[in-house]
Amino acid sequence: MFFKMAIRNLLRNKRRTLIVLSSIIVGVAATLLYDSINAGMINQMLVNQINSYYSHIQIHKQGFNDNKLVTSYIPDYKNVEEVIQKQDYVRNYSKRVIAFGMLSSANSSAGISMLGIEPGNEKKVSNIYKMIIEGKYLSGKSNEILISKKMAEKLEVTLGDKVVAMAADINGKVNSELFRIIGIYRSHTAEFDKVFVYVPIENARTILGLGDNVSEIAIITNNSDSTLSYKKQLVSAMKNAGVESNEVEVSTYQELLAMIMYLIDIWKQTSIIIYLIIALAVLFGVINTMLMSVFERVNEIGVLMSIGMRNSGIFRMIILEAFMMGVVGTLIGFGIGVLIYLPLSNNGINLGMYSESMQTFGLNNIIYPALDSNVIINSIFIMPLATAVGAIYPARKAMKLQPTDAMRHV
Amino acid sequence: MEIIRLEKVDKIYKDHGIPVQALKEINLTIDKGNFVVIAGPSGSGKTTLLNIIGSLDVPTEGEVFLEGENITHRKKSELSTIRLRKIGFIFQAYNLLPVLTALENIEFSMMLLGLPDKERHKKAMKIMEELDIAELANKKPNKMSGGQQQRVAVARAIVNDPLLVLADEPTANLDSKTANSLLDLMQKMNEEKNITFVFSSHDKKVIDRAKKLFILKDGMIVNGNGS
Amino acid sequence: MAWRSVWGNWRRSAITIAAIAFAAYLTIIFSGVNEGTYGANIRMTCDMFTGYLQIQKKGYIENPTLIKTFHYTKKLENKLKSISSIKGFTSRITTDGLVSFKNKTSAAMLIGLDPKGEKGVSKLKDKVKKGLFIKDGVLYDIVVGYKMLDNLKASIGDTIVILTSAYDGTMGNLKFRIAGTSRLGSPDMDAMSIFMHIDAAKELLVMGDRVCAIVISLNDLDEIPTVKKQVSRILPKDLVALDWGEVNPELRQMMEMDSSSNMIYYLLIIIIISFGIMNTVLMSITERFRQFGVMLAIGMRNINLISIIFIEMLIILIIGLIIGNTAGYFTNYYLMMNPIELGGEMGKFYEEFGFEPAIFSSVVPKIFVSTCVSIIIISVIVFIYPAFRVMKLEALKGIRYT
Repeated sequence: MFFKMAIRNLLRNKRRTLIVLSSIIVGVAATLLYDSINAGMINQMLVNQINSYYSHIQIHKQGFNDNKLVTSYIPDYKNVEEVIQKQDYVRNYSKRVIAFGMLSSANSSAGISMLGIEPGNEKKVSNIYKMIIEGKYLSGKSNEILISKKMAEKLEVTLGDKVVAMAADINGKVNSELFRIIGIYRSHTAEFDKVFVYVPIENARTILGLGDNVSEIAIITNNSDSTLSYKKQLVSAMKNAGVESNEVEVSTYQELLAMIMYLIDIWKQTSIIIYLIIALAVLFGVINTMLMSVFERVNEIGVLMSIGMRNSGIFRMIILEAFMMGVVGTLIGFGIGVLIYLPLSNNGINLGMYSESMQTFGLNNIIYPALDSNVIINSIFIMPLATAVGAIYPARKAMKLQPTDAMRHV
Repeated sequence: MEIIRLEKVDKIYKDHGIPVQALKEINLTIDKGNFVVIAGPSGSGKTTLLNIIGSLDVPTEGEVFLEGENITHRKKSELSTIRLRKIGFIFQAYNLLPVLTALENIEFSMMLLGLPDKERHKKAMKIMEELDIAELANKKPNKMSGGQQQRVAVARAIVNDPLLVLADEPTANLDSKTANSLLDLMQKMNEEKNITFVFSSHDKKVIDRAKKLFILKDGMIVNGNGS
Repeated sequence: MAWRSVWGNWRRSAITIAAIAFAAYLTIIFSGVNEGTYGANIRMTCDMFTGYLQIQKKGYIENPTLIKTFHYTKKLENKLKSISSIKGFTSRITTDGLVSFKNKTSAAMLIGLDPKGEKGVSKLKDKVKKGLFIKDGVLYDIVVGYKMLDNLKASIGDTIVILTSAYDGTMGNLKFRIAGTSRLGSPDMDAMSIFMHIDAAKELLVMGDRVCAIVISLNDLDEIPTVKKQVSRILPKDLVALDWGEVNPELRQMMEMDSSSNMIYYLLIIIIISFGIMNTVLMSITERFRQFGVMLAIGMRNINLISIIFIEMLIILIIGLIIGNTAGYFTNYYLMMNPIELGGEMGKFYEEFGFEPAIFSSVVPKIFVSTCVSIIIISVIVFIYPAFRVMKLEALKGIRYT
């Protein structure tokens, strides 16, 4: 019956209740939408990086992540490859050779990160083949090169042109090789486009004098959330095969993209703070409304006390009323928020006006909002709690009324 | 058997900072089954006295005994429970909770006691029939006349078989016919169920029905001793 | 009379005032931090390296190749000297290259500077942590990013070779001596930048008297628009004047994005608080409908009643705004004088993007003005409904109101 009473009491002054309710609805809906946009952005940042290059797990010689030297190729990679093939959680993997170098055209030159890839396998771990805007992907034939649009503009070249790639091999000697541009790509990340070029792995090995070796193995697993446990399994499997962890390092994307993971952390913290601030804003309205409501009912509270209701019961009654407003408002706000979210998450939001900045962060121009558990939990729990807290002061005032004063108030 | 005893009770309260002595050296005893009226002009302290008897207020000096036990210094929460089980109140006006129907109003204290749904409902309907107000069951107070509201108030006050019902000017807002009808009802309850009634009133109709009368003037009982 | 009504229900008024003060305070603090950090970071970037304005050949910024360089003539130099607001200017050459030491090779960003000119324009010299900066007279001394030393396993005093593609299309290479290391705070720059004397760069790249850009420093960010116009006027047709935002669009957009996203939060808070304001005003008038009814019966006009409640709302607004603004001012001022240093991961994150790892604030009037104005505007909007109800009130209806 207490619930019935609470609801009916709230309905006594419909206008007042409605106004507070509206503020809760607006607060919840707006923060839900906004948070989901942020979540979508961060999600996309992560996914773009994973798909374009980082994959779920990368394997290198120990120390490669700190200093990407040509000489740091994976020791005994065939052994490592065997281990990988035996892991059931590995969906696909691809071998790569990486080196810094220069790419020159007739008119200019640019510093590059040369990626020697196995075109077929690479397709299964990264999506660079989808980013091609002119020409085609590497076919596997020798001396083909895939460069970014930015690079093409910088070197003033187009499809079909020839460029010279230069790099120092493991002995320090600078070698060069002529390549023909068979494809031009554009990725979502400006930094990536500025330097990454793709050549067949054999060409890279020749230039760098690496023989049969590889610098990096990229792995896509079955479940992107379990990469940490997969890493552990992989490390111990490799140990059993005789590969020590001080020779070969296994890095998850979380470790490689520490910056983004950190961003995610920050975002989670800030979003709680934002919700709290909004809840605080709503709180003022709740305090005022409940206070007024209590003062209007001083008489009734006296009657309740005379019947024998405990002060704590009266306290709880007031809190319950506010809490119900919070719950109803949150549910409606959540509902409205989701309704608006659905078409947005389908069609995305175009942030083209910020395109350069988006590229810095590795984002597409169109952002798809995402409702993840963090967003949902925040929006559902914080507001009702806040309304209950807001009612504490008025409820205490109600509780402290003397029955006699309450009744004299006629 | 003694139900209420007040010994040397004083009550002083502050009205905008100025102390006012509402009650002075009150000594009285009320026995079970009695139909008591505390009479006196406005401002004589009737309501205050009633409130102290009903544990809604505590005396500044003196002791209050309920069924022989001293309740003067009990905690508020204990007093609430005592009121819930043993004392019923009827006020001059605004007795009922406006958001609840007559039936719900009557069930309310049973709910506080933790009685299960069905039992509450049964008891409430029974009392409504006894008091001939069954047709008001689903009406809210704002749809009832003054007399009807007071009847429902009586029902609520006695549904839990209290020891004692305190009524503060219950007939003040009613016309004479309705008032008499209400008083008849209360007398009937007093006789049939042996519920002690204590009224405060300056209404002749009420005073005439008293089995025991206390006259209060300026906070003191002026008709002899207090029993 | 309005005053007394406000204090009549002091609790309600106090809570509403607190709400307004809260909204104002928060908005001011966040705007202040935004403004301050924004300004501080721009200023820092400009002062450190980018300059406030740059003169480049048209098309260079989209495609920074050596082809799009220009002759830096005495005539141009003199014209620039004649613009008084320019604090200093200097020329630069930038390109990519490879640097090798013994058998280690690394990619590098080559930046040719004019040491005398740089002094008045950038703070690069201060960023030299070890060793010496570039000087006139020691042509082949270079300053490298400190991380590069690790990558090359070289030390100060060693001789390295720089290889790059020159203006005339040939591969140029020259030996240079590492005179010092720099620490700019940006991991990329610290791993790849090589600062050399601009004359050495010209030699390496066979550039003659061509340069990539002229970097201009001003005294204040606010002067940019005017000076930009002045400079544009004196430039030949194939050169353009760009401000830092055009030179570094990512930076400018990042800040704009941040600003707009913050603005959405402020508005949200203010809107929610305005619900509370509307409630307060409505409550205060419905309580007095009887009183208003009497006043109307006596002969007062509805408009006067509206002015009374409007003044009441104004009083609450003003007190709330004063409190919020004052508290906000002091907090911002304190933060401005004592920026909060950001340590650990947060600090690194900021540095990655080239920002100073600290939170600054600002007390420019714009913050306070825009906060107050937005709160007042939204309050006025919210006032419309209560005003409407008072407008429609008739004497008898008011008196009989329950």
